[in-house]
Amino acid sequence: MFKRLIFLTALWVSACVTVNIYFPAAAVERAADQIVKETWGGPAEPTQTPPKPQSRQSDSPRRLVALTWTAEAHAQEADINVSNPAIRALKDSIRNRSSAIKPFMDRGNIGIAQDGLLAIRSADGLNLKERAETKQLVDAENRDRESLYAEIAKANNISRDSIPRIKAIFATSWIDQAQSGWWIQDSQGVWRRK
Amino acid sequence: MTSLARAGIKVFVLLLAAAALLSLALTAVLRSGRFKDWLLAEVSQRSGFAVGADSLGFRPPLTFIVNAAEVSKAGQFHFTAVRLSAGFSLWSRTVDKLRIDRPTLSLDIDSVMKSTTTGATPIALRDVIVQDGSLTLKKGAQSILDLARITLRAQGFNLGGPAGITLSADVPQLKGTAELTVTGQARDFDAQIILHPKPSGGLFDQRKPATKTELLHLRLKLRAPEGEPVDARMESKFNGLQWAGNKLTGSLSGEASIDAELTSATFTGKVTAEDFPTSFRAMPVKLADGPLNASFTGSYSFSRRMLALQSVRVSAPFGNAMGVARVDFGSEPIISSAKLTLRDIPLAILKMNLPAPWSQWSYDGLGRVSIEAQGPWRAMAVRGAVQCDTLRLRGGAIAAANIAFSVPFEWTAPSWRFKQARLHATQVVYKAPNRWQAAVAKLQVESSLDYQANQPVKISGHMESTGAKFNSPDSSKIGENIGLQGPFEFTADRQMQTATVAAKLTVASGEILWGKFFGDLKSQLPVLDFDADYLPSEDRLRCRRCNFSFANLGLIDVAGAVEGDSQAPVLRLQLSSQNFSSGGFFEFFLRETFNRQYPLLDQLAVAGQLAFQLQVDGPLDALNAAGALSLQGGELRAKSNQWQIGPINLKLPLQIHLAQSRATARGAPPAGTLAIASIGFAGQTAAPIATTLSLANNALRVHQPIRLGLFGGVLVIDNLFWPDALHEPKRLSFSAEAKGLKLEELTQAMQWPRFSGTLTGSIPEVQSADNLLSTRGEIQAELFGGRIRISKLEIENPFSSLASLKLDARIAGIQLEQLTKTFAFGRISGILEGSIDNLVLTHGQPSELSADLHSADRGGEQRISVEALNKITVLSSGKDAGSLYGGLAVFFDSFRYSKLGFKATLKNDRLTLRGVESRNNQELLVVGSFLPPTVNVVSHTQNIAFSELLRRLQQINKTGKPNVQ
Repeated sequence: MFKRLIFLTALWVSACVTVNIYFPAAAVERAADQIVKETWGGPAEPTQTPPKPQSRQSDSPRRLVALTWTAEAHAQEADINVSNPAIRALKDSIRNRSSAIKPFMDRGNIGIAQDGLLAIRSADGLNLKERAETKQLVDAENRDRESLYAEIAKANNISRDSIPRIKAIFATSWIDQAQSGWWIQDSQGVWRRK
Repeated sequence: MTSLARAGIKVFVLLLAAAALLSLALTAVLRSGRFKDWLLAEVSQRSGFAVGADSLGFRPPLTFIVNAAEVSKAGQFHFTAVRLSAGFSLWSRTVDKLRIDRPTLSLDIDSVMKSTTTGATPIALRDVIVQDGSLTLKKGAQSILDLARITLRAQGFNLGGPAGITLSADVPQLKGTAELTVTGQARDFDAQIILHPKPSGGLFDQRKPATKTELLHLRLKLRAPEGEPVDARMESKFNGLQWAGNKLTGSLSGEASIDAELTSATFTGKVTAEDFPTSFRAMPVKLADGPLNASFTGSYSFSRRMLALQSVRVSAPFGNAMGVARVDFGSEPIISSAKLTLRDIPLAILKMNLPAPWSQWSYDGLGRVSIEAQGPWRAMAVRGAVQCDTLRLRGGAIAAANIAFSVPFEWTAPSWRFKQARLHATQVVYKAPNRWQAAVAKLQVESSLDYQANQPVKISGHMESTGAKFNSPDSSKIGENIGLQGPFEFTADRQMQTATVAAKLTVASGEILWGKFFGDLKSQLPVLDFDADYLPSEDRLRCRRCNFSFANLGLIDVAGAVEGDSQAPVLRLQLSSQNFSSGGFFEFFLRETFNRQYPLLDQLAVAGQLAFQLQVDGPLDALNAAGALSLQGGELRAKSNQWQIGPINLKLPLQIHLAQSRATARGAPPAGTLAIASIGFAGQTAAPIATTLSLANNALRVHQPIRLGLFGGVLVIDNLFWPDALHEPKRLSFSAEAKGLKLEELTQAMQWPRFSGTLTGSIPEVQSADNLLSTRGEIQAELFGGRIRISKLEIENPFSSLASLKLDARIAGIQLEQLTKTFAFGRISGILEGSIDNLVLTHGQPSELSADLHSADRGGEQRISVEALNKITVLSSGKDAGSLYGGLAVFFDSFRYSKLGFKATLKNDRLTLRGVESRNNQELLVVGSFLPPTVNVVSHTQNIAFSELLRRLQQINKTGKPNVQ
């Protein structure tokens, strides 16, 4: 009877499986860093930053775990694909536009909101033509960024539900690689100068 | 009734009868001519005066009346009265009440001076009334002073005393009792007037004031020695003197000197008031209160009856005044000239004189008023100017850093005229929280105003503003640096209850940000020319003429009415234009606004003249417009001249509405016409097209098929329909059919490698919605001796720069020889078949596909040249095998094959290439035949990056025939 019980327990344990709704957080982080650097050129003055954890998102994956002691192996995940004509076009568009936006970021008129999108922070010192231009630039840039996140998800078979996570990861990259002196909105919604 | 009561009644009746009889008797006597003549003669004899009257009368109880009384003494005085009534008191046996209607008294001043006071004649009158009297002082036959319209009402009038004249009278106007004491002789006397407050206690108030307060104490000394000038001095003090609703405390002193001949007088005077009041009952303007000092000097000519005020100086909280005047007191006072200048007027008095909310504002600054008057008193002409150099204004939401104004005025009863009034204001700001804000850096207004009682007020002038700006509460609508100038006219008609405004304002500069739209007005020089009535009772703006013109756009005429202006405006307007530039509209409103979202707009050029006539009705958020639109000579083309559409002529009746759910037009909508003279595309010119179309309930429908003769064939677009062209312009549907388009012409036009064939197809339905253009049906191209059928054609984001084309293609019977020859791929013979599924072209590049293309053995020759082999090798391996194939080419030009082809998938820039056959884990792209010469081509690299694929394709183009060794 005892042997039978041990056998059934072993069978039950061996039947336990880990079910992950997989989201390649680390790979998205690397892609985000790469794209931000390619399009906006990264920070002007590289500073010593503490090493990042392997995955910012891996601690909070949307996962269902049933009685698992199985280790996850996200560190070994492959890069996601961030190269196709749509993504290239969007990157080109963002890169080409960056030179028009950066002067306004230097002057503090445009800042990076907490969601990683651009926002018009202040119209001080802008004439109306520049105001119209900043509004158009910000609208176009945010439209491209949103499209970029959607294309990345689509290219990598990531569900549309996960686009906000991609957006959040990119937000961190945009903020981390922002140049000194640019305005960043913190999680409380307060604008601070980097 | 007792006997005593009856006796009493009898006595009363008897007394009453006796009084009546007495009254009747007196009346009869007094009306008797003989008695009148006797009485007048008796009085004349006893007094030494000439006394006359028309009639005498009596009125109970004891009032005697003299009509047309006349008393005179030659060379001394002459007195007349229309009616004189004296009421006697039985108890006091004195005249209780004296009333004189319209008396005239003419005194000879010489005789007055010569007369002596012989003693006191006690006279006590309880009530004296003089109504509309006049006094004339004469010297000889010449009148030197006329005082007209004298009305006097005195109570408790006493005349008499032990020495000189003592007169006391109640002065109700000053709420006091006056005592006049005159002592001395006619040529040397002192007069004193003391005004005490009248006790205000009631009938039983027995209290008496401890000290008798003097409201007014006036001393007058007159010295008039025989043959010498008359010298008069007056000093007075007043303390709490009630006057015109105020209490005055201060002093008045003066001196006068009259020459010995009594022909002229000079005088000086000085007035001080400790606390000059803010307002007077009869004066409409309120002043700043505080101490007042005034002085005056002047002269009066008795002979010419001319008063000359040489100097009047006033220093008061409401300003400092200086003035001169000359007044001719002839039959009617005439002002020869009068000038008054009032300076340093604190404009804070505006606060006291304006109604709310202006009374809540603050006004810092000083103003000045200059007045000149001339002419008869009753028809005086007054002119002058109100001026201010610095007024700082702040109140409510409005502030002005500085306002300067000059308002010249003229007044001739009953009309006012303000000519060329100038106002110059800087930094005027309207800033209310959560409302529209506006400011102007500099504002200049020059205007004239005519005002006549019961006539409309009319203001006309010219205004100019620079540096004006405005912004909406959310700052989404902003205007800056606006320069506005032009004439205006404002008329307010109180009787008609209308306010009319007409103006022609030109915007010389300025920028507008309206949501996404930005416009530099300097390039357009907008002109607003309007003539409108506002009817306050109906809260309605009636617009007779309202023209908007733009230099590069044209003119829009607006007429009609806006109702409920202050609440929710409802429009009833007619809009029309005959020469509106579609190109200007495109450039000004569309291209600059949307070019970052749609870069394609930067590549377009638009031309043509629009005309429209619209009736616009309804509230702003649910407007309904109906009318007609036309376009003449319209053109739409690429700036690169790659394509061109036009001239376009359009006539379109329309009915549209802003509210999405509203549908007003019923039945078949009226149809318009669209005619396009030519459509040019890449060197091709399509035949003219013409169709009818309609726009009703926002639905735009093209009724006839549009046939485009292109590339030797016909492209037919039919059932073109926008369900809501206003709100969803991207949502449309149509069907398309291509008939016999010659691919040779198409490829030439597109600058592709030229090949022959035809393109035919039918797409029964094309739907565009939510950034996706999808099709049903298929297009068939007959080319290279075979056929390609394209289906499931879709375009994502068709109007953006990231348009993505999706399709499936089925390939059959393609002659490889024609194909390879066309694309210079060497020479391959045979038939190609297969499919390409899910082909996605994004931004002009293939981004996805799943292809299976292979040869089909139809029994014909299947050979492949060495050059083609080399290019296939380059494509599959990336390496040029020219040297290898060059060696083979010594022996063979081509090889037989049994099949060739590949299976490929492309996604995310990764091309997975597999052969037409797998053998021993090898992917064969070309499988040789059994009969020599034969060749197999094996692909060793199955995964190729897109960038590498591009590099290989470029290498293929460079790769020619292998070198034959």
